[in-house]
Order: sequence, then C-alpha cells, then structure tokens
Amino acid sequence: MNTSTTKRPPVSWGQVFTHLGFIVFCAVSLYPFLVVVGTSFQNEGEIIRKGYSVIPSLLDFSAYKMILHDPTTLIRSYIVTIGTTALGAIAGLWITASYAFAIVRKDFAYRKQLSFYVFFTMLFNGGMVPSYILMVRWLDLKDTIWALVLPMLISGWHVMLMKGFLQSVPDALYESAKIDGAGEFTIFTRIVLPLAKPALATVGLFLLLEHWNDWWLTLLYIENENLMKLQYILIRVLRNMEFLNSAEAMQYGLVKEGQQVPSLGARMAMCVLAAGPMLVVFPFFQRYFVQGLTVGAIKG
Amino acid sequence: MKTLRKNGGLLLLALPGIVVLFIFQYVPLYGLLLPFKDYRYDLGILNSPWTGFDNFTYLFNGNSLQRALRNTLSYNFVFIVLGTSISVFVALLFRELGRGGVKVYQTVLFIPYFISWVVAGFAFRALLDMDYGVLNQVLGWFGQEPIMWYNEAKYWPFILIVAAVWKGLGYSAVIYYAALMGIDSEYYEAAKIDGASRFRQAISISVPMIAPIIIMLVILNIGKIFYSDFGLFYNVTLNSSQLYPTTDVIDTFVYRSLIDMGDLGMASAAGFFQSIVGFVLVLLTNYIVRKVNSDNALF
Amino acid sequence: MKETRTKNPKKATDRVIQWIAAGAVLAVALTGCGSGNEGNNWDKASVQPETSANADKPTEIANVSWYMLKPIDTIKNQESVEAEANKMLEAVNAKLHINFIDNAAWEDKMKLMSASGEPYDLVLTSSWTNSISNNVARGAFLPLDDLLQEYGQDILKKVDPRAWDAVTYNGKIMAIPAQSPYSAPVGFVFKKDLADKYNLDFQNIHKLEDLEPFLEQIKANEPGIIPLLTTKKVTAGIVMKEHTDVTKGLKYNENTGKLVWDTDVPEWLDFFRVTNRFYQKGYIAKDAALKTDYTAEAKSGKYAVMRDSGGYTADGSKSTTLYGFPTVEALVGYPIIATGNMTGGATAISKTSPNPKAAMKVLNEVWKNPTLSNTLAYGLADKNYTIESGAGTDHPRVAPKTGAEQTWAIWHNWLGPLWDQWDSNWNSTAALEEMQKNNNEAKTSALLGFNFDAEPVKSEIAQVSAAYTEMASILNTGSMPDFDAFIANMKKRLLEAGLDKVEAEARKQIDAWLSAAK
Repeated sequence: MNTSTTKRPPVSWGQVFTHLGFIVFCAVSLYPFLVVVGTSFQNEGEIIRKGYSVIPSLLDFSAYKMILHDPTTLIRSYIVTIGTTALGAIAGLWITASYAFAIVRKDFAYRKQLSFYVFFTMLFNGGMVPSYILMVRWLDLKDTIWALVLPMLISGWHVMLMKGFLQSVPDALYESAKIDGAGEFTIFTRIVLPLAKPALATVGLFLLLEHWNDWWLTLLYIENENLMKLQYILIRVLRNMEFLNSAEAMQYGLVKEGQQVPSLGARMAMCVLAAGPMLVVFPFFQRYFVQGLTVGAIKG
Repeated sequence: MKTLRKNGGLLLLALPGIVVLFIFQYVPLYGLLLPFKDYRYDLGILNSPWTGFDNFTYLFNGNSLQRALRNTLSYNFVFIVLGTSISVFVALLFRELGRGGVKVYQTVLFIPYFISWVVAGFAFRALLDMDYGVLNQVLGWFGQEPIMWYNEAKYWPFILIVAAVWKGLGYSAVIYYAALMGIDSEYYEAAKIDGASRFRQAISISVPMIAPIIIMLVILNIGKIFYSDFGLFYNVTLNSSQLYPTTDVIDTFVYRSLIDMGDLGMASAAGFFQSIVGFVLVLLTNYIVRKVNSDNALF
Repeated sequence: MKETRTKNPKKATDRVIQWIAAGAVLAVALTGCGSGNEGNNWDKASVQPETSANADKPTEIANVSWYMLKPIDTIKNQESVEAEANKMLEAVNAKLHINFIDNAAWEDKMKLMSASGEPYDLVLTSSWTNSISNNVARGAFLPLDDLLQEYGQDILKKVDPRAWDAVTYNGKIMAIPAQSPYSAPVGFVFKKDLADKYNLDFQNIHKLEDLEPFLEQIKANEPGIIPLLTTKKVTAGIVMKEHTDVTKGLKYNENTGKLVWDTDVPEWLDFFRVTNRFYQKGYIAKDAALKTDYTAEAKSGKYAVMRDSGGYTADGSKSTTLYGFPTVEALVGYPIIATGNMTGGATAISKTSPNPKAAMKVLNEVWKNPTLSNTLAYGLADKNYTIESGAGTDHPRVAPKTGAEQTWAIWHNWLGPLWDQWDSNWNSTAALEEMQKNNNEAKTSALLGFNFDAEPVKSEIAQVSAAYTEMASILNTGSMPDFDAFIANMKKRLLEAGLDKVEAEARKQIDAWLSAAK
C-alpha cells in the first residue's frame, strides 16, 4: 500500500500562490451560478427593471412557491430521474468498462475492428427519424422507463475515455495473470476494476451526469406526466414562458386573463432545484480520485 | 474458428456493448440516406425519391457559409489547443495540491457544467448588460464609457472562449486528474530518490504518462471540428445578429436557414457534411499518429 | 386511398429493416435488458392498431386521438372532461382522447410522429406552428374532400367559404380551417397615466410617425420610462395596406399584381426608417434587439407605448387585462386577409389515421354541438368554470377558473368553432361579433388561397431565410447606424441568397394559380 502524499514541507510559496489563484478563479467561476440563485429569489418586476442581480433587494419566494405549488409533479420527476440515472449509470458503466477493456487489450484479435465499430458511432448516426421509428414502432418503448435508459447505455465517447484510462495499465499484468490460469472475466473483475478506480469513478460520474441532465429523451418518447424527468420539467418552464410571451400567443389570443405565465425567476429556481442534488453527489465520487493501488502491490 | 475461441473471453465481455451499439446506433443508420432523398413521410425514407445533392446546395450556394465555416474552424482550433492545455495545467496543479483543497476547487469548478447554456445566457447577461451589467459598472468606476457588449462583435471571440472554458474546465480537468491518479506511484518514488524537483516530475513523468489520453481526446475533437456547441453560440450571445461576424457557426447558420421549412432532408444534409469532413480528418490524423506511435492511434 | 395505403410498396422494404430490428430485439432479450413486452413488436410497423379492424363496423366504438398543443401547464382532470365529452360522442360511436403535447416538445414531436408514420388521427396545424404547408408537402395529411361531403356537413355549414381556399393544395382540401379573427386589428397601446398626463390625443394616432411628439415628451420628462417597446421579433403598429406577404422578403402588390421585394416597398421602408430615427433619438431601448419576451416586457410597465394585445378595444379593456395596468388603445388599421391569416388554427387528419371516418365524425360533432365544443374548451361546470348566468340556455355566461386553480383549457379556435364560444372573459360575445364583422369587412388579397410551394427553390429559400432572419432583429428595433447603407446591404445579401430566383418561381406559380382560378 502506498498513498501519493508523502511528507512535504508544510507550506511553500508556490502552494500559497496556487491556492490564491484557485480561490480567485473559483470565485469568478461561481459568479454566474450565484446570479442564478440570486435571481431565483428576485421579484419579477425588479428583474425586468433592474436586471439580474446576485443579491436581490428583497427576498421574493414567489418563483419557488409557483413551482412547488403542486409538488407532486416535481417529486415524481425526481423519482424518475433518480431511478433512470442510477439504472443507466450502473448498467452503462459495466457495459462501457467491459467493452473498453476488450479493445484496449493488445492481444485481442478484433481490437481494431471493435475500436472502429464504436468510434464510427461518434461521428455518424441515423438521425432522429430512424431512431424514433426504432424506439416507438419497432421496440414499442414510447412512454416506458426504458426509453429513458436504453439509448444512453453506451456512447462512443465514454468507451474511448475508458479505453484511454485503461491504456496506462501495463500489459505485463494481464500476461502474468493469464499464466496463473485466470480467465478474462476474472482478470477484468479482480484486477482491472480495482486498479482503475479513478477511471471508473470518472466515467461513472460522467454517465451519471449525462443521465441526470438529459431531457431530450423525455421530449421525444414520453407523453405521460408521470414519467417525465426533472430537466425536462425545467425546459418546459423555459419554453412555456418563451411561448406565452411571443407575438403569436398574443396574436391568436392564447394568453387569457389570470393565466399562469412562468416568470424569469421560475426558470432560475428550476435550475437550482435541478442542479442542487448533483452538487451533493459530486464529493462522493471524489473519494475515488485517489492514486490507484500500485501495480507492484497487486503483483506482489 | 481458432481465433474466435482464443478471443472468446474478451469477445464475451464486449458483447453487451456490441449488441447495444448495434441496435441503437447501427440499425437507425439507414437514416444516412435521408440527405440524398426528397423525404415524403408517407413513403418512408427508403422509398422516397432520390434527389442527389439537392439537399446540400443551400450550404454551398452563395457565400453565407463562408463566415460560419471560418468561425467554426477558428473557435474549434482555439478550444482544442487552449482548452486542452488549460485543463491539463489545472489537473497538474490539482495533483500538486493534494487532496485538501482539491475537493473544494474541483466541486466549484464543476458547478458550471450543471448550468444549461440557456440559463448561462441569462447569467452572462448579468455581467454584460449595457445598463446593469457588472462589467460596465466596473468600467464606470474607472471613468470609462459603458460598452454595448452585445453589439460589438470584436469582443466576442474572447467572451465565448471564456464562456467555453468556464463551462467545460471542471469536466475536462477531472478527466486529466483521473488519468494522473492512474499513474503507478512507483515512478514518482523513483524520481524522488533521484532528487527530481516537483516541476521536473510533472514534466517528465506526469505529462508523458497522460500523453496517450491527451492525444486521443485531441483526435476525437478533430472529428468534431465542423460541429459546435449550439447553446454556446446561440444562447450566450442572446442570438444577437450584430455579433454574427464573429459568432455565427455552421450549426447556428443551419438553424436559421431551416427555421421556416424544418426540412429534415436539408438538416440531415448539414449533419452529414459535418460528419464526413470530421471523419476524413480523423482518419488522416489517426494515420499520422499511427506512423509515429501505433499505441496512441485510435484504431 | 386508405385501402391502398396498407399495401404500400414501402412495406416490402420496411420489412427487411423490421427483420434486422427483430434480430436486434431478440439480442436485447438475450442479454436481459429488454423491456419485457417486445414479444409482438415486429408486426407493429405494419400499422394495424386495434381500432382499425373495427373501422367499418359502426356498432363498435372507434377510438380517436387528437394531438394538441398544451394550452396550460396545469391540466389535471382530463379523464372526467373526456368522459363528459364522450357521452356526447356516443351518437357517432366514437371515443375521443386528447393527447396534449407541451410547448417544449410540440414542434419536434409532431414532426417526428408524422415523419415516422406513427398512427394518430386528428392534429392541430396552422400557418405558424406544426406548419400546414410543410406537412402537406411531405404527405403527412389526408385529403378531406370526400370525408367532408359524407360526414362533415355541419362543418361545411359553419366554415367561412373563403377559408377553404386557404387549406386547398393542388385542388384538395387538406385541413379544416378554424373560425378565427382573420384580420386582427393592429394598433398602439399607451400607458394610461402617461397619456393622461400629457393630454395625448391618442385617438388621432394612426401611424408610427404620429407618435413622435409624445415619445419626445416622454424621453424628456420621464427618466424611468422607455418611450417605445420593440423587441427582436415584434414591432408596434405595422400594417401593409397594399401588400401581401408571399414568402420571407417577398411581397405581392394588390394594386399592380406585381411581386416586390420588401426592400422596395415604400410603406415598409418608411416604417423602418422612422423606427431607425426613433432608435437614434433614444426612444427605443438600446438593447431592444436582445429582448425576446414581449409580453413580459410590456407587463413590467416601464414603456409608454406598446403594440396592441392582439386586437382593438375602444375602451382599452383588452390590453388593460393582458398588460395588467390601465391602458388606452389607438387603431392603426386592419391587415389584408391573405392565406396565412386564415390558417391561424386548423385541424387535419393524419394519413396514418387508422379510422379517418370516425375522426371526421368526431370533428363534425364538435362543430355541430356547441355544448360539446364548449365542454372541451372550458371543461366541466363547477369544477373548471362557474356559470354566471343563463344556465341551461344555449348561450350561458361562464367564468373559467384562473391562475393555479385553472386545471383545464383548450382554446376554441384550436377546436374550430370559435363563434360558438360561450360568453366569458376569454372572449365576450361582443368581442366575437366584432371579430366576425372584421372578417367580413376586411379587404381580401387577390392571392387569397394561394400557397407558395417552396420545394423547387428550397435551397434559395433557406439562404434567404438565414439572411433575412439575421437582419430582421436590427430592422425591428431600428438599431442600425445608417439606414440607407443597411438597406443597400440587405438588398445585396438577399440577391446573393437567391431571392431573385425565388421571385421568378413565385411569379410562375402565381400565374399558374391565377389562370387556373379563372
């Protein structure tokens, strides 16, 4: 066992500067997010009169009240999102890692073909219509939870990324394991997976985020309110507002007295509600960003 | 048959991926015919009449595309070079700092990833607004005239690059950081015994060790060099047409062209064009990389 | 038509793909991540939903689906409203289900459903959303002439006869045009307190120039107020009195019968030249071209002059209601009725409809029976609206619930029979009568009924669209430094994009259409 941080001088100037640099950098980086949070508490009229601000002159909860007025939709969308995200990320990670493991192996005869097989899908796809026909008419997945999971199970990008990470595992390891009589499955589960924890954590995190942030699949394949994902609800608030404010809506009399129009604050509040939970998840993954077990430790 | 048996184990591991890719990516591929068809919904893609390259002509007639093409290529070039080097640099710094501060910084830098471009567009407005924007207030303190940011195309290459780095840095720094974490620590132990400075270690161990993944990501980005992040160029600029000279890219141009007709054939023609060029470029780059060091090639 | 559809040659080739997909599905099932119900899905593509088998047996209830843009987000008690409506539809042995699609998904989803040949029956189409022309050009809709004659007599009675031309493509009726205001009056809306303060003689304002003295006063004396509201896409008070739009950048002169480019129309040039002057004098917000939410801006109350709120009321009640503060209105004029104005709302039957006859029968009932159309629009009495007076009569006055309480709404002009609407704050009976009067009195275009087919010049149309859209936001807000240079450049750009070719094609089509009409 060996961890990366061995003794070093307690403070060096270089480190102080680096920290300072990061603190400034982070503050700048955080600013737009603070605007989002601030605006979500801002009064609608004030936003239009004074623009967006980090610190609203008085706290206004009406945006949250409007969204949370009927929390069932929101709660359901949280459940759907968490469920599909967990399922998609776990299944996706396994499929991605095992595929990447195969194509990273230099002694695998179909290595090049299968690398190309996955790469090709990164640049070319059949487009929306054939995918829609496949999903809705042939697989009959409209309005099912599977429509939100299956199309995102594997992507060329994640496989390539995983392949990139796994390249740093020395080939000698596989050879010695094979000589010891281990099968490929054993090598993968017993040696590669424990060794590649940072890689798994990274790709796992990315898969998680992608499932969490996805709204497009809901837009395409879900009509049932009960199966809509959180980010889609956010997009819905945004586009609804855009639509109700448009000239067409006025022209054709589509906005009536007393009709609820989502406010500028509401879209920001939705953004906060949608991104919030992921900020809690992130540190959990960071636990695995430690230098992996050394190869020597495994060999020994 | 013999090779099949010999590789059976690995093939079995890859099988779920092969199958899923086949169903969800390869089966719909017949859609690649769409750019060459006059698509009639009632006839289906396969039976719609062929039109040759008719769906492509709007891209190449006239000179509207030139501007978009130039912008797309320039931005992507900068994003690849600058984006990669900043991310690698930050990842190296993360490694130097050890786990203490990294956790916080990493989390903070990752937050922008969650903010969709639409919402980010509003947030940037808070910075750049003519009357209430922070930047103009700061200019005011120094007695400078306010700048109408959304009317001045010349500032936007800089603003868009900042926006892209702002949103993407957390994500890509995590990639390189994870790659650094995957390096066998024995190398560093050995270097320390040799008395190599931390800077020296970064240059001669860290960078070379993650070079393969850097090269791979660059090649993949080259494949996307005709594509751009629509949200960045559409929402952050608030689609202000005065900025088009420096912000119009292929995706926004195509969007504007087809806004009325919504023609699926023409839309897919643009995508096909973007893909095929990227594909050729990747094959070319990959060929060169393979000549230099076959381990780093994609396939 | 319907019968041959199932024997379409496409099916043979589709079958090949089906088999590939079938193999793929099997593979999914093997790896254990299938959905469990894929057992019967490769015969799914041959479009034989349950209902179609019963098409010709009138004793069986046919299910009819109606795809509609979701009017409000808070729709709740759909089942009970539909149950009530379906009681009234028993007469025609049909059951209606409305599939509401969010604004967010509507355009994409409808396009994909039509493009992929998914079965559905009725759908909302119009000149501005789920475009009727594009759908017809792609073969998504069923021609309705025979069905209308056979099952749609009540529809034929109620639709404005002129409107049929607007939905006729190649001699075939492709949709049922809704009753709607074809010539919605264009006007200006003034903030009442400011109009009063400066004794504005608003009733005598009839064009953009007339605003100038008032705007000047506001600019000089009201520091917190922006004189005139225009946004990226919306400007106030523009009416073309002699010209009709043919396509982006191209207009038809009603007097001479000639086609002219926007940039050569004097009225049009004058309007935007004045806008530009207003911008330069500071009457328009400097960042107007960035603004998109017109209504939200108007509601903020920081503008003195705005556009009409979709109509004209002499007492300003319409805009007061929508903008949320006291206003007065000035009338600029009535647009010429052209094809696009008549298709603000329409209903089409999909070519994939399993049961077009039942769909037409349902539509006919909606047009025939005001109780049915109003139930679909307002929902259920006491639950979604209250009856204020005239309960039990043909013309009650109702009050729909509002705000978060509102759990049901479909706009009458999306259903079709707007004139059958029960009196409410959505539209008063007086307002409806006013609309009908305008429809009958407004000038109609010589091109009414002409639909430009963009297909032969779609490459040029795309480029013109890109160029025109780029310049529209600058035009609407007047935010160009030099108007004449801008227009000269615009002409050049439109020419490069191929507007001359579009013009030639339009000329050809119009001549053919005119001679056929004679």
